[in-house]
Order: sequence, then structure tokens, then C-alpha cells
Amino acid sequence: MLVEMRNLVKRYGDTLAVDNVNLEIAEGEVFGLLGPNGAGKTTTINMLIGLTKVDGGEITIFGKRVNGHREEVSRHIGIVPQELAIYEDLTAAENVTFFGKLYGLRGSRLRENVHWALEFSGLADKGRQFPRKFSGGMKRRLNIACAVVHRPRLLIMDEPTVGIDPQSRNHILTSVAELHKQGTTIIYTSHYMEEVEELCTRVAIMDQGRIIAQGSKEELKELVSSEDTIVVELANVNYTLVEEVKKIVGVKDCVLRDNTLTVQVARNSPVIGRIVDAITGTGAEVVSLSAERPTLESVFLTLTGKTLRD
Amino acid sequence: MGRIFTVFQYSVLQNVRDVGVSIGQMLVLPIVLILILGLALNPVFQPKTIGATKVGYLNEDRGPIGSLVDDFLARPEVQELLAVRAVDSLAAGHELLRTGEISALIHVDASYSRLVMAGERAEIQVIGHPGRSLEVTMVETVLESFVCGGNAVQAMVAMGVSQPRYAPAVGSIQEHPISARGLMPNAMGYYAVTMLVMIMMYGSLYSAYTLKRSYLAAIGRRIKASPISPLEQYIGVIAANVVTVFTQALIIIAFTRLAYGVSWGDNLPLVLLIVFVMAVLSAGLGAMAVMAAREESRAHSFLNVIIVVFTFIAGGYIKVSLPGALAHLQYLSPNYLAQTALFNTIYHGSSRQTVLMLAGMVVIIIATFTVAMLVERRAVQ
Repeated sequence: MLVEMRNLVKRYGDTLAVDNVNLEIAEGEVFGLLGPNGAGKTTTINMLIGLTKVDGGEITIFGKRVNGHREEVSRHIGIVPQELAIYEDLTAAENVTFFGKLYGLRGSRLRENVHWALEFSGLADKGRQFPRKFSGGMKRRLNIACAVVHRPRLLIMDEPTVGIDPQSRNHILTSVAELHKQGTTIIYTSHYMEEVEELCTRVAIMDQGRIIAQGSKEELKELVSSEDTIVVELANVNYTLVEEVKKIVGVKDCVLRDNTLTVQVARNSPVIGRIVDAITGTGAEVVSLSAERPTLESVFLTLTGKTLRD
Repeated sequence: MGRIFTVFQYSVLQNVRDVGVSIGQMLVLPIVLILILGLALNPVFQPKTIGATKVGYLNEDRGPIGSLVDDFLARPEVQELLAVRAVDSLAAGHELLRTGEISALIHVDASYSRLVMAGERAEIQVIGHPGRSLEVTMVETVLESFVCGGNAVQAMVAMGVSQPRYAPAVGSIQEHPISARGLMPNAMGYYAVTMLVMIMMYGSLYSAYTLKRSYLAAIGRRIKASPISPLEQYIGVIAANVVTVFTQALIIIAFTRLAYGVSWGDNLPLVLLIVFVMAVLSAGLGAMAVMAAREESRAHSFLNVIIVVFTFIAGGYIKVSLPGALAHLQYLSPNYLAQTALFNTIYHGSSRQTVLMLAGMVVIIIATFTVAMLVERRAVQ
């Protein structure tokens, strides 16, 4: 495992901010950490990178305990903080160079990496400009360039797409996918569930300082439902069709309301063709058909009782 | 070491790029203030000659000692100090005093010689104008010298010396010119020092600002997550502020020397040492303020108030004499310590006092950095 957290605890006075958290993240994963505000995500990340003292438990990264090897471990970690953490009065290239130097890059390797990081972030032609003239999205991309300049093995991204334009957001999501392809392990927190759905290979859901569920996206969806829902809009409805559809093996339930037929089927059952045949066999016409599966949003809602933006 | 230098290098770059502060506030403002205050208040700092004090003189003694008083007052070196005008009577003398034509009236009583020669108590009376105490003191001092000489002659006679002669020595007093290149600053020289120290104190705002940004805020946290240790990061930022403020001070010193002709004395290394210590003190003050407040605007408000107070009690705006125990408050002012050390160095004052002032500054430096580190350590927990 690249990252291991064992029985991690953090208290602020009487408040238990992180409560006995256990997590394992394998090399090459894009790991999503989800949770409402105040769930303990940022505290967990701050403990991971050594910014907050651990009150209990242990963190191991790259096989080394963070406590006692912080400098060595942090060399291979990149941080994209939630807040913009760039200098407005240094040029984009100077910002990236500054962080490259902090991570020990020098000479031609530094120049090459700075050039790569700016290109990677889509800022290659903005290197000599000051960030105060950048849009919010460009600043976010520079925020990322500063984090990847040293080509880290582990990249921690805390809400990297907050408050930016769709173009920059797409660029960032593409960049994350590209880094994943290159083998970088990524820990990704976001309020945007669709980003996590798209990018992450595994997800942990935090609430009130605890990990309440973790696993692959499919495993989490299994937690809340083992069924898929097929919704069919109909014309010329024949009221015998409900009975016909219910006869199909794999169909667990079927309800007709107005001209909409909602069918519950076992997860991944190949029954759509047979349902369409049954409907048309009764003389009804299919206007539209859609298959709905549980989303991470619905998983989150079911597990925590609140939406991610609560 | 490389990482400290990186933080230092980029912090200096940012300080320099903040043109409004680095050039406007820290260079142009003090240079203009020194010029304005130096020109406007120059007369206050110029030593004045009070000229010869006008005195009335009534000698009613016809004896030998009375004539010695006449001779004494007629001596050229005495006439440089006293413009003697004979009066006919005490009443006439009083009238001149009343009208302000003379500052004092010297009266030698008719019995003066007799009493002196009899070895009895004898007095020369000085009647002073109530509003001219300095001039009256001058007259008293001159006559005191005559009386002292007379007493010396009497003592010699008593010891058996025959015919001793009273002849005051000329040239036994050396005159030291008072000027910017001598022992006391003119207004330009005074304000060059006080404004330099004041603006260096304002350099503490750099520390508060850069420490907030590069140590406490989002960028600071990001830097802390890198391989650099918090101490290296702290040293890099503080060193950048010290070098920035010290360099600005050097520019002010060079400019005032070349453009205004201000004297910075003949011991430049010691002047630079004091200025450097002041730059470190200023950085420490800013560090303490921002670490305690954890917030830039509150730190700035605090610093803005104490800098004005410290500058005032140190006589930075205008010379002040604090009464009694309040005078000790000046020793709490870093401005006072630095100014005193600089004035002593430039105008050849007490080197012991310079060392004491420097020691006081070092104590403040240790105190401010210690408080800053203790507060930060507690905050991290």
C-alpha cells in the first residue's frame, strides 16, 4: 500500500474531528474522499501531510511513518490546497520554479520540469505573466502546476475545481486523468460527485470524523441497492402489459403510472430487450427508455442522510 | 541551506516588487520628511550667540579693591561678555532695569575695599532683570570669577606671599565649535537619524505582512507541507525582511549624505552595525505582532500605534523631555535606544552608552523572537 492510516485520531478540545480512521490507498489509484463540510476530510489530509499533529494512530506513506520521516516523505507528495496558494506578485513561471526549488529541483531538471508543469496546466504561454491578471480558472491551474512540478508519486487534491469556469474544470479533470495514466497516485476530495464518479477508482465517505463506507464505486452502490431501474415512456398503453413484464425472469417489480412504466430489475440483468418485446407484444408503443442506476450522490444521501453540499 | 536561500530569494523579490511600499513608503517618504523637518526646524537646532549682556555699573567704593573691579570690567575678554554702562545712582540703575535697557545692575558698595582689607565679609551686588535669567547668570558668573581671583590673592597673602598680583590668564579656555560635523547635530542631521529609525520601525510591517502570507496563510501552509522545515521557512522570511529593511536604510543614509550633506560620523562600521541590529529588531517586532495576533490587520494596527508612541517618547518627531520617572520610559523605546546609539557614534558621545543601547536592542530582539516562537508553537499544537 502506498498510504496506510491506522486508527487515526484528532481532537480539538472536546471535539473529535477524526475518529479512528483506517484507510489504505494502493499505488496508482485515484482515491476519492467524500464528505460534507466538517466531516474531517481536510483534517485527515493535514495529518497526512504533517501540517496537523496526530493525537492517535499512525500514518505510513511509501512504507515510512510520516512521524519521523516527514521531510523524506514530503519530497514525493504534491499538494493542491483548497485555497489558492500562489504568489500574486511572482510570475507564473517564478511560482512554479519556487516550489520546484523547495522540492530540491535544480539546474536543467528544474527548467525542464517547470516547462512541463506549465504546459501540463495549459499555461505554457503565460509563464511570464503575473497571476493577478489571471482568471479564477487559470489561477487554479497554476495552483496545480506548483503541485506537480516535482513529479510527485502521490498527489493530494483538495477541492481543486471550486469556483472555476467549465473550460478550466475540463482541463483539470483531463489533467488528473492524464496523471493517473502516468501512474501517479491521487487523493481527490470534491463536492462535485460527478467528478468523483468520473475520476476515482475507489472512494471513501467520511461523516462526523468517521469513515462510514469505502470501496470501489460499484461496491458502494451495492451498499444501497442491488437493483437497476428501467423507466419506459409509452403510447397506446394496454393495461395487460404490467402482467406480461412481470413474467420476465429478472424483473423484480413493475409499476405503471400514467404512461410511464417503472421496472425494477436485478443489477446487470440483460432483460431490456425482453421488456421491449413484451411491451410491443401487447400493442403498446415505446416512446423512450432509460436505465437508472444508483449514483454516488444517492449512495451518499442514503449513508449520511444529507447531500454533499450540506 | 538551499531551501532557506530559496525562501529568502523569492521573499526579497516580492518585497522589492511591492513598489508602493518598498520605494514610496520606505524610501521617498523618509527622504521627504527629513528634508521638510530639516529645513523647517533648522533654526531650533542652530546654536545662537547671546552677544554682550548690557549691564549697568555703579561703583561707590573709592578704595584700591574698587578700582580693581573697574580694571576687571574694562578687560577686553570681559567686555566681550558684558557691555558695561556706568550709572550715577541706584535709582538711575533701577530705572534702566525697569525699561529693559540693561539686564543687570552691578553695585559695589562704598565700604567694599575696607571690608575686604579688614578680612570681613564683603559683597558685590548684582540686581537682575526678572525676565532675563540667562543674562543675569552670565553677569553673576563673570563677577564670580573676579571674586574667586580676589579670594586666591588673599589666601596667598595669608600664606606669606608678598605683593601677589591678580592677572586672569587669557586663552586657558578652548572653544569647541558646535556644528553638524562637530558635537551636536543640526536639524537635518537630527531628523536624518530619527526618521531613519522610525522608518526602520515601520519595516516591522514587512515582517507582519510576509510572515502572514508566507508562513500562516494558504501559501505558508503549502510551503510547510514541502520538505522545508518550519524553522528554515521562518529564517528565510525573516532574513529577507532584515536584508530589505537594512538595504533601504543604507539607501537613505547614502542619499542624505550625498544630497543633504548629513554627517554620519567617521565610524561607519559602527553606524552600520547599529542599523543592522535595528533591522533585526524591526523584523522581530513584526514577527511577534503577527504571530500573537494571527491576523495581519490586527498586527498592523498594533504596530502602527506602538511605532508612533515609541517615536514620540524617543523625540523622533520633536525633542521631548519627559519629567521625572517618565524619562525611564524612553529606555523601553527601540527608537530611543537606536537613536542614542547612533547620535553617540556620529557625534563622538559616550561609547559606553552606545554599547548599553546596543545591548538593550539585543535584549528586545531576543524577547520578540522568543515570544513569536512560543506563540507559534502553541498554535501548531
